[in-house]
Amino acid sequence: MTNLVQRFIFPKLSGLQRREAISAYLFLMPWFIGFLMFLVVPIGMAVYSAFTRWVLISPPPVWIGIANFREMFTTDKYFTWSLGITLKYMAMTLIPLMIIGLSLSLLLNQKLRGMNFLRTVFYVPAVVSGVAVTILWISLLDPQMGAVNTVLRELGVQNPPRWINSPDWALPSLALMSLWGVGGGAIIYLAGLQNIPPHLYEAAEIDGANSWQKFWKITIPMLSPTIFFVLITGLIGSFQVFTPAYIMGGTSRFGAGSKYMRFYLLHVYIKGFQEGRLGYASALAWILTILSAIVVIIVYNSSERYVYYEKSGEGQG
Amino acid sequence: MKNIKYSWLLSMLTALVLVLSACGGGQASPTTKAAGAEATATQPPAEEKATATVASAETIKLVVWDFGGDEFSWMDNIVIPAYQEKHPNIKIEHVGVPEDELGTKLETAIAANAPPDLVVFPPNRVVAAGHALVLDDYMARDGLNRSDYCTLFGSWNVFTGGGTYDNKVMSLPIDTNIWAMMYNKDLFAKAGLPMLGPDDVIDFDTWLNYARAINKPADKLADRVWGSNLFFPIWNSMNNYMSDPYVLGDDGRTCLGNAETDDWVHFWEVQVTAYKEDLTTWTAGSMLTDVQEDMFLQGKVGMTEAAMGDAFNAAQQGLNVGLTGQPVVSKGWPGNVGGWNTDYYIMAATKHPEEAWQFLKFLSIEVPMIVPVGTDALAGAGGLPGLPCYLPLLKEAKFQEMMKQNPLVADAVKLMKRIKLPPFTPDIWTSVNAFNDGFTAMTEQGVPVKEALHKTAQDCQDATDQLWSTYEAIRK
Repeated sequence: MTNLVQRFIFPKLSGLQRREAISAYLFLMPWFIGFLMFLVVPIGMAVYSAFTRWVLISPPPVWIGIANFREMFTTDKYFTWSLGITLKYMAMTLIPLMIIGLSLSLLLNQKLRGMNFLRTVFYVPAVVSGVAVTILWISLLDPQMGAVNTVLRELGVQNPPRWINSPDWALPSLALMSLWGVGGGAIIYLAGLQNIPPHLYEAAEIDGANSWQKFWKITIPMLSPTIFFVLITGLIGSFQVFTPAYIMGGTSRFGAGSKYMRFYLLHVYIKGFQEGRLGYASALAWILTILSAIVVIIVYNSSERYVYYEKSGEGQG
Repeated sequence: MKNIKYSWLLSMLTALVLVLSACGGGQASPTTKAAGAEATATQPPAEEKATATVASAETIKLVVWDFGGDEFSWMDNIVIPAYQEKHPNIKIEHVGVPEDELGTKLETAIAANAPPDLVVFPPNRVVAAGHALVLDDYMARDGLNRSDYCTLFGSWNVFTGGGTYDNKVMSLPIDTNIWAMMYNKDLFAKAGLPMLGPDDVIDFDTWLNYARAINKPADKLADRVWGSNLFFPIWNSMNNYMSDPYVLGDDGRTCLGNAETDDWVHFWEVQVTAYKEDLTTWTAGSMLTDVQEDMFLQGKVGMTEAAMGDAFNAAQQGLNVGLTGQPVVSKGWPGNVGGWNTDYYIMAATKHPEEAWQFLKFLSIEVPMIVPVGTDALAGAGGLPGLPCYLPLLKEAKFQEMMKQNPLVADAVKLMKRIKLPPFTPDIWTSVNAFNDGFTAMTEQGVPVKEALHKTAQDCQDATDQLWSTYEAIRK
């Protein structure tokens, strides 16, 4: 048996090296099995199923070539529509969230009494379940009885928006709700802000820099890796909106699956699980993956222009 | 020492591989299992075999899925204890799955080769794909006839809880119910409107006039009275066959033309008018829409869509309530009542078809006698909201007395006879869902009714074509 192992497994290694190699692989094995079973195999299946007509309850999947993709680009009206909804939402939330988050973090970075409490308060929405947040906002935005419109009416607004009940305001309602979670991003900015060495500001003050110059010439460049991180995660997050659209759509007068809140991922879900077309849903999911990857790659490749990484030893010699 | 470590590591690894193999095991075998299930579904069951199985000491577990909660609390509180007392070797495991998740979970369970033994309201495509047990042979063997069951038994549509598919019996209903209209008699009298009975048929013009007469705007919510709740078409008029032609045509697959007739255009115009005049809770917003039934119970709404139990509940709470059919889309068209049965399907993959059948029979024939039904089953009381679908039970003294005592029961029975079954379609909800957006375009964006309707009919057609295509691909 020992000879057999020596002959076929790591034949060029000495006994000790072989034992060490076997140990290493044994330790790696649980991860590797998990990686294979829960990542590689499902991804492979998703690729395969994108080219099949696969109804979960009626196996096996039937190979139909690129028919799913053809349908997507020719007859599925909601494909481009849902992509448009997703991109509109991205435009409404991504930059505002970054700007407000950064502004908030600058405020939370002040050395004032009770700041830790305030930081906690602003971060709380980020830890509340998405479903709970959505239900809360459904109540807040109710056209007749919601707190938001009650305040607007008190302020003299005659016809306040109908929010999630209005095709024009449904998407801004979701965007507004997402802004409530701005504390999550602000905490990341805050961590970045606190890593900026104070001596940079001191040197700038000695050189006569004003607040705006310090912000623009020190804070922003030093914070740019953090801003970049928030941008990338925000971009990916915008492609993945599902819970609020599913819940708000279901409770609004539009109904779940309405085109006014039909985000791309919701469209994938409807096709896959409500209509039972897993093959087509896989094809849709792949398009989303490819699109997300393209956007992220573009942003990543252009990051050299606006992201400043402080390297050790830079500027010396 | 090192050898011990290796042995330990290898043992752990083997255990891990075995565990993971077990996880994946279900994936490998559905074909074999399905083939077995198919055989079970087509084999005429032998009574001797059944008796032998039931009589054995082996404990058999039946897993039953429905929506759970208050609506199905009778299952836990009454049915399971009663059945297990009679059949000590049967253990019923009752699983409540929220209504909007049941279809997805069921399909996943089927794919994983772990479906329940019985399930309530499975999606149409599950039955079409051959995953429900055909019951004709069981019925013939046990002397049950289709004619013993109520009207909806002859239909096929999961919404209506119909029990047949391709002329094969797939389920036995427990109770049957109507989807009609109840109205507040006091508000009607105050507005000088006539009282409506089960034989009256009104159209939506009349409904609009009634709603206008009852409606009472007010600044304070406490003083507000709405003319009616909105009878939303995708829930009422469309799937309940309240138009001629049917919204999807006689073939159940043609939205274009059938969903945009003059009658439908007029119907939508009336809905838009009611919406703009703020005659229904819908104009206010989602929170009020969500509680519109409660608003009716508080005497703040003139008319509302209702099942039989809703009317009983309203009467129980002291409201002077009347029961009649819903308004019809096509003038002169008699179909003004929808309906549904509560029924469970036996999954073809069950390992215990005979025991599942015996339980299903118990649900259908005996349960209406031991669970509060109809007037006794008011909201939250944990009973069946309708009347028995197994017709011989209606002759029992209990139900005869109920009909004598409560005029609403007699009205409901009359309304049941008015139910007109719509043509089969794979999934009426997916077909007509686009009309939600159509209505929004009409009311919120000012799109002319005809234009919005035509666009929506096209969306409906696309969805329906796709549904039929999927349905025909999986059909067995």
